[in-house]
Amino acid sequence: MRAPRPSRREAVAAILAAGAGLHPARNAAAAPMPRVAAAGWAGAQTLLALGVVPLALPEIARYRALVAEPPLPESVQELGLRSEPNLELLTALAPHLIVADAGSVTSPLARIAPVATFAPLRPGRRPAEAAREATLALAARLGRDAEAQSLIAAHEARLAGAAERLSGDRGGPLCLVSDAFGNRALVFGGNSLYQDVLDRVGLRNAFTGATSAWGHATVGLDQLAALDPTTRLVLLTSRVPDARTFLALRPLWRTLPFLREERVTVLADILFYGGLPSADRFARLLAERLAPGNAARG
Amino acid sequence: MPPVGERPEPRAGWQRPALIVLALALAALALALRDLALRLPPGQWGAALLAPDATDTRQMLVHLTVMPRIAVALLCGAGLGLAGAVCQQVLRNPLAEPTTLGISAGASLALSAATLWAPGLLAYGREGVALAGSFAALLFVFGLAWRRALSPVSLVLAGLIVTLYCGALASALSLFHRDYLIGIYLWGAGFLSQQGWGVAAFLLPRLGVAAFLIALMVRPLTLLGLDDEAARNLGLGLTGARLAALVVAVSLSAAVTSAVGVIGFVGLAAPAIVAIAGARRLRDRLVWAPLCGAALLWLTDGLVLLIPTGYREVPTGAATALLGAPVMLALLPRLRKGVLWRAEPAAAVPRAARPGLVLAAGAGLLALALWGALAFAYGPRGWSWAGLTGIAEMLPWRGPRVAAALAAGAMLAMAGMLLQRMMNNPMASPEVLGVSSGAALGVIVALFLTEAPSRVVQLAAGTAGAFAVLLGILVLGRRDAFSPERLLLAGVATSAAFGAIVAVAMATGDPRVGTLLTWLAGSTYGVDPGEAAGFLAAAAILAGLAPMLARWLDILPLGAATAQAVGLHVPRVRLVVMLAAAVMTAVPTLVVGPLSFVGLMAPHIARLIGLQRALHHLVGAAILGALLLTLADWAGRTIIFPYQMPAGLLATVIGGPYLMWLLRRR
Repeated sequence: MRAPRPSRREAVAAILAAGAGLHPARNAAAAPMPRVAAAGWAGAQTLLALGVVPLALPEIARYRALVAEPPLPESVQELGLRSEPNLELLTALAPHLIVADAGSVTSPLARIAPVATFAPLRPGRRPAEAAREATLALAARLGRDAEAQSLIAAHEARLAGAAERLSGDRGGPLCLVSDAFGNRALVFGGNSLYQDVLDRVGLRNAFTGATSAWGHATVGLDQLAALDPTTRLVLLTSRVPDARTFLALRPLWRTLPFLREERVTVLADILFYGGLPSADRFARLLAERLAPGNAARG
Repeated sequence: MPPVGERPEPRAGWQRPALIVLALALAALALALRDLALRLPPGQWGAALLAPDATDTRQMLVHLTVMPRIAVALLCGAGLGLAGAVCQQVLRNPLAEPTTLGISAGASLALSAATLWAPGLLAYGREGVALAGSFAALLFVFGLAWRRALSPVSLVLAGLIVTLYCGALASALSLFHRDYLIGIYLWGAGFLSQQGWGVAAFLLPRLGVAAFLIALMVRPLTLLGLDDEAARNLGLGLTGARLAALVVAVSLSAAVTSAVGVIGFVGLAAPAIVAIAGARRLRDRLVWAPLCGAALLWLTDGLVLLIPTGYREVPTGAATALLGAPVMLALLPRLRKGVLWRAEPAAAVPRAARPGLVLAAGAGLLALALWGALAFAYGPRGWSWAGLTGIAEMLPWRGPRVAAALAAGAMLAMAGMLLQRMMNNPMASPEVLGVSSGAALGVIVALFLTEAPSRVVQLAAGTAGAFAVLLGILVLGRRDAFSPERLLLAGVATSAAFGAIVAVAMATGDPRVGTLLTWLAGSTYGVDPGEAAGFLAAAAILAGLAPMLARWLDILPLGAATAQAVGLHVPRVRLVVMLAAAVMTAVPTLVVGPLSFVGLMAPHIARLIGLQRALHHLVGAAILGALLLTLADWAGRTIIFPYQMPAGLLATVIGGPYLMWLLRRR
């Protein structure tokens, strides 16, 4: 099932070669598969979308449940926790490049192989632009520029398709909530990955308050109650099978107008700090569940 | 209600507490009126409270959010103040509040577990789940302390152990299921925002019943403040009275916690403030502590509402800690000796016949453990034993981790030993000094101010935080000969503020929280070879210097008077011991994070083994601490390969039950 493991000497040689610079890797673009390990989910998503299967990825079961797309081949090895990818295992795998997510600690990884930090969200930049740039930068390091171009083109096409399917939507603005407990909720605002998708498909975001660098904010129900009365709630989680269960678990929420009138759509878990694949997933799910004719209320 | 008919003795016992409460309440009222005036003309306030016009959004908002929020703040503050006053009386300890008994930790662990494995349970209300968790934790504490008729010291110690243990289990859950627990963090930070009168209606009857029951118990509670001996002579069934009072206080605080999340510090600060202000009799404290708590929380919430809401709405629970800590520190110099505190040394343990032999065996065991940790592991190729020669292959990865665990364990254990001896208090552990919290705070601030702080930035920020706290302690303690009770209170205030900041960080939903969690749980993962070498050298130097304190540490537990009589300059001695403990706490915190359960556990076990002389105790604790963390680090990177569990966390999970068993046996 696994590729034959490199001997100790080969591993050391590979590290030395990788340490000498990445130009060999770029030249090796013609070779079937670059030896890349992913230390975070966002980077892994874009790697897979570029057609590169990482040697290893942390928390694989959780990735399949919460990130889902693109699907992960069986050959990928488990690397442990996202916060502490296993260094002994990484050393044995001898990758030529490690792709880490922005904000993670990279210094131990850099002792094994060069580290590329994948940052699809950057302060002061539109998420769509930042994601595009991050994708191109990662592809350039792997010599996959052509794949990146076609990935971006496919992304544009998917957004256009979703926009077309949603063009008949006459509902109110959307309130995007990924998690809720008691009378607090995690909502997504103006500088989130989702906002760009909403803009492209012609929908409005009901929540316009300040948000973190990742585009989300935690707010109380009193703030949600003050939103536009025609607001529709969109739940970005698959832990809630349908709107009725959600209400049963959170009786306080029944006081909100959009829940009283059952204007709730349940999507699924999406990696909110992922790149283009996350945006695609959001757009597709939104079109499937919101578009006229699919009045799916869970 | 103020105690109108009471004739206070020599100096009015209620005047100053009343002034403080009045000042707090007036300030809060002014803020609330300002807030209301911005929302609604004064003429409509009555209507908005009693019969709001359902078509008027502004009136409805005031009726459903602004006014219930004030009511909930008052009720929660009063409940926590009352619960804290009762706990401090029953446990005769100024650090006691329901959280000291493991209530919050039990509640939050139960909620996390229910969210993961039985979300259906939450449908019946999280109050029930939180209450069940609180009482389970409390039963554990009682079970541990039962043999000593629930004596104050053993109760507090048991409470601390259960709290740490629940905390460790909860962190283990968050480490592996963080994505599913974000909701718990959103709730757990102590937000008071309301959406209707439901929460106030939930709290009011509970507070009323609790206040009534406590009023019935004033006499036995007063007697509980005396020595066990004196109270027993007066014919009071001690165990029963303690249990009854504690159950009331705990139910009350659990109800508050389950309604609005963790609001720390009010239960600790309100009774302490009124006691320091002169409410010396229990009856006065029971009246003024709830009023003070209510005013304190109302004022804090008013101040929180002044902060313009960014994406990180400030939870009131965090604000109480941040605001309350300086109030507490300012009041400390006024704390009268003996008002709140009685030192109660831990029960005597038979002395080991041959301490030298015990220590030699320990050192041998440690050497074996170090070898095993470097050579024996589960890896990509299954179990492997590298013997002596094959160690070199993985040394770049395992070496720094083993060195860090060894040095951190030894230093924290020595710090704990110093503090337990100096403060003559078995619950003194490195974190009560607040230095580790300061270091951790520095690192968290660095994490949130920069996108990805380098190791150097983290170390610098952590050092700055630790030194800031240390400086504060020095300034505060200097006036009072560094008396243990003040140091403990100052440390607890700092730790409370720290806990609040961590809660805020968790509630942001920031993806980097995972990194923060592993570091908070005591991980050696990020240590590089250079750091490990420097760390080992620092540990060696400190371990070499520490035995010079041995004579002092033999004398200090005998009491300040005795120490003075044999010619010690007590304030200077305390200062030196405290500085040594602070450095030995700060250095490992910077490298492996603030989880220092080892600093509580290792000195205890060393003492229970029978190492009584200070020098033996010190060396024994250092060896045990090193052994414990080395084994924990090895197990943490081996048993769930390729996943890893931070050493500090695993030491707590494994060592906790052993410590509990040791305590129960005695």
